[in-house]
Parts: sequence; structure tokens; C-alpha cells
Amino acid sequence: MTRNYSTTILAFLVLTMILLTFPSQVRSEDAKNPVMLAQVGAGVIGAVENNPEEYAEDEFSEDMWGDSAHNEEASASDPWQGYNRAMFKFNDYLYFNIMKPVTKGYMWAVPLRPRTWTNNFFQNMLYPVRLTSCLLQGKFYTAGAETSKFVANSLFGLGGLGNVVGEAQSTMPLYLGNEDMGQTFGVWGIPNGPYFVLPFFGPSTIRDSVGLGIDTFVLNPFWWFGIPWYYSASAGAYNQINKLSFHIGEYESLKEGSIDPYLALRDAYLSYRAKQVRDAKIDPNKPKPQMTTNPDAAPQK
Amino acid sequence: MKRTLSIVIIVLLLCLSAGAGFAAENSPMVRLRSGIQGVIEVLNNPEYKGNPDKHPEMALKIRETIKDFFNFEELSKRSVGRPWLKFTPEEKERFVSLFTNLLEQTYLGRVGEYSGEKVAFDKETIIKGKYAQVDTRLLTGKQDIPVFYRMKLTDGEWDVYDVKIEGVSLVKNYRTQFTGILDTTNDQTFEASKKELFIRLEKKCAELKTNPKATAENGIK
Repeated sequence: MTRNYSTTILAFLVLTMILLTFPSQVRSEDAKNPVMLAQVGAGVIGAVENNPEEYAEDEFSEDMWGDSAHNEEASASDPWQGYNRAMFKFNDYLYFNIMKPVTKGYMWAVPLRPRTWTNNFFQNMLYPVRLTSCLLQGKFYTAGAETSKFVANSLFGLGGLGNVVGEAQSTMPLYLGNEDMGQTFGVWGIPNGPYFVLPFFGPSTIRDSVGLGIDTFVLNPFWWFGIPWYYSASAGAYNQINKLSFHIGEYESLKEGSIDPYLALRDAYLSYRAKQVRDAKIDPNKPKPQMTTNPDAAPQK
Repeated sequence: MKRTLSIVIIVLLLCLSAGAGFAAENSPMVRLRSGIQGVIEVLNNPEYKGNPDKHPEMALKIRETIKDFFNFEELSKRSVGRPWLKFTPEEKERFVSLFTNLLEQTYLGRVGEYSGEKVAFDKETIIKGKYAQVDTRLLTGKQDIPVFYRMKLTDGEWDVYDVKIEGVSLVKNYRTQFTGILDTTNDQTFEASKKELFIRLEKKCAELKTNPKATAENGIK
């Protein structure tokens, strides 16, 4: 008799546990996803205030993916569109008529390897920019990784020309986020403000422009040791040309497929920045894929 | 007591395996993999490889393969957004064909740049049994590029309707552009802006067809 009794209690307890923990697990995992919550809640308990079918009816809703915050961050406020479009045209002209030909000539003259060294050198030089932003965002692990990379490349990489800290071979997982002040402000919760196209630098927002100003004029070591400004500026311009040599064709791709290149670039910039701001908790360990494609497969005869 | 426990465990195990079995049967990930693998196989086909004469044929084959696992109708619908509901069936059809054409002309060339990279499939998330996201990475050797595919179950098949790379969604990028053109203040402006949209789409397609890449290379005119 007692045995039967305990069996019932156990069955009841297990059932209650399953019923209770299931929705709360979902809730704790993804508290900001009301659709999922409503759906699971409806499935388990059978009653929910908001009809989950509401979401199904709205075929244009993307809310279910839980990236509403990302889309919010990437949504554009563009009150100065007249100026921005004019500046976009100016930058576009500059790109195709000056930057691109110069970079192409530079690429013709300087092989890939020295260009990579140059890139490493500037990357290493701008370590204070990234370190400051990492620290201000509380990303101490990344700050440590940046520091270790800086020390190693400065000491063993001929003052930063080499990149002795390999991306993959290192034992320390280096997920370097290329942090900057604009992202730091974003992490602090400061919104983008109006979209703002800068001359020469291209798409930006008020927030990112302020960040860029701090990065360029305060945290950039070129300004620290009494170096005349024209040397610093030329070095910066040279860095841009060198960097562009690795990215030529990207802007063209975006432009090629768009029917309004200005809006396409605006969305691409804001979405990319939103992703950079929100990537605070990247898992440094690469996930193990469930499956991969076979690059050598050919159709069977 | 012991028996009850074992029954509970067996029931739990059954539940778990039933869920897993269902997932494997009609899985967005499996479907996406076979779709992408299909494109790779066309690219690797010795018949086409290193044979420039057969390029148009290969392009056609790739186009067919992609059409099989991409839902261009859904993609167009979402790229236009809510104004889509006010398109007539003919306009919808015309839009889908033009937009598909534009995407093909733009991205088909990119597919040719494939040089044996692997695609890793990490995770699939199914929502409401109808929508799914598959997290993939393109393994380029130097750096992994995460690519997210969003899929929808239509007529029992999972089809891609959006691709997201580095936070940039294909659908949203085009929606920003189309919204900038379509003026929904009243019926009159809507009709006029719709006409404008079709003109611009047609112009773009014609440009891409006559001289791919040249339009982008020369800057704004």
C-alpha cells in the first residue's frame, strides 16, 4: 500500500517538474523572446494571454528571431539626407578617380608580403586604440589577448612588421574584436544618432564620428611624441591606401547589386556596426560543426 | 519504486528520440547542405571545369540548382515589405522575375570565385515549425565567415528566404532601398513610385546584362 502511494507521488513530482521547468528553461535562456515564450507556454499550459497565432498571421514580422534589438540599433535616422547623399557622391567620385587608381598602382608596385607587413605594423601601432576600448567595455580577456599580441609582435615581430601570433596556431584563443570608441559608446548604451557621411572616411554616425575623432587624435600614438601633424596625416593616409589594397572590389560588389547604392551602403554600415557593438560575448571556442560540405565532390556518372 | 523510475526514464528517452527523429527527417540543415553541395558539384563537374565555352551552360545549371532551394517569391515579398500586399498578382510576378534576375546577375559571378572552401553547418533553430535559421561558417582557411540562412517551410520543403552575413541581411538591405523608392502616402504616389521602382529594376537588370561589373567600376554617372 505504501509502495503504491510513493509511486504516485513520484510520478506526480516528475510530471510537475517537467511541466514547470520546461517553460522556465526557455525563459531563462532567451528572456527577450516573447514569441518563443508564448508559443512554449501555450503548448504546455494550454492557455496564454497573447494569441501566438497573431505572430503567424503577420508574415512580414521578423521579431521571432530575437534580433529586434539588433535591427533597432541598425535602424537609420537620416535627417541630413541631402548633405549625406552629396557627400556620398563626393566620396564615390574620390574612390573611383583617386583612391582606387592610386591603390591599384601601389598594388602593382608593392607585392602582397610587404603590404601585409605594413598592415601588421599599423595594426600593432594602433594597439592603444583597441586596448582602451577593450578596457572601457570591460572586455578584460580581450584586452589581455591584445596586450600579449602587442608584446609578442613588438619584441619578436621586428617592431610589429610580422605577425608572430598566428591566428590559429596560438594556444590562447584570440578573438580580437577590433574594438574602437564608437563601439564602446554603443556598449554603454549611447545610441547612434543621425547617420552622417564623413568626407574621405565614408559612412558614419554622430556617435561613431566622435569615437573616430577620439581614436584618431587622442589614442593614436602618432600624435603623442611631437611629430609634426603632416607626417601623422601622411602616415594615416598611407595606412588607408595600404588597407584598401586588401579590400578592393568590396565596395564595387555592394554597388553592383543595388538599385540605390546610398541606401544600400547606409544599411550595410549600420547593420555591420550594430553587429560589432553587440558581439560582446563571442565564444572564443569555435563551435563543432554538425556537418560540412565536401569540396571535392563531383556528380556521379 | 525502481520500476517506476525505469519507466520514467524510458518514457523520457522515447520523447527525446522521437524529437530527434522528427528533426532528422525533414531538417532545414540537411536540406541546405544538399542544396549548397549541389552547387559545389556543378562547379566541380569536369565537363565544365576549365572549359570556357561551356560557361553559359554551367551558369544555367547553377541557377537551376539555386532556384531549387531558394524561395525567390518569399525573398521578394519580404524585401518589399508590407506594400507587397498592394501589388497586383501580375506586378508580383513581374517583380519576382526582375528581382531574381538582378540577384542572379550580381551573385552568380561570385559563385565562380569558389576555390574549394568548406561550409560548416553548426546549428539549426526552428521556430513555430515553419521558420528556421541555419548557422553556417564559410571556412576560408584564414578566417571563418559566419553566414546565417533563414528558411521557410513551404509545401513541405525548407527554402531559403534570407541570408545574413556580418550582421547585414540581404532582405533588409533591399528593403531599405525599396522603401526609399516606394512612397505609400496615398494611392497616387504609390502607383507613381511603383512605376519608378519597376523602371529602376529594369534599368539595373539591363545594365548588368549588357556589361556586368562595368557600371560599378565607373562610379556614379
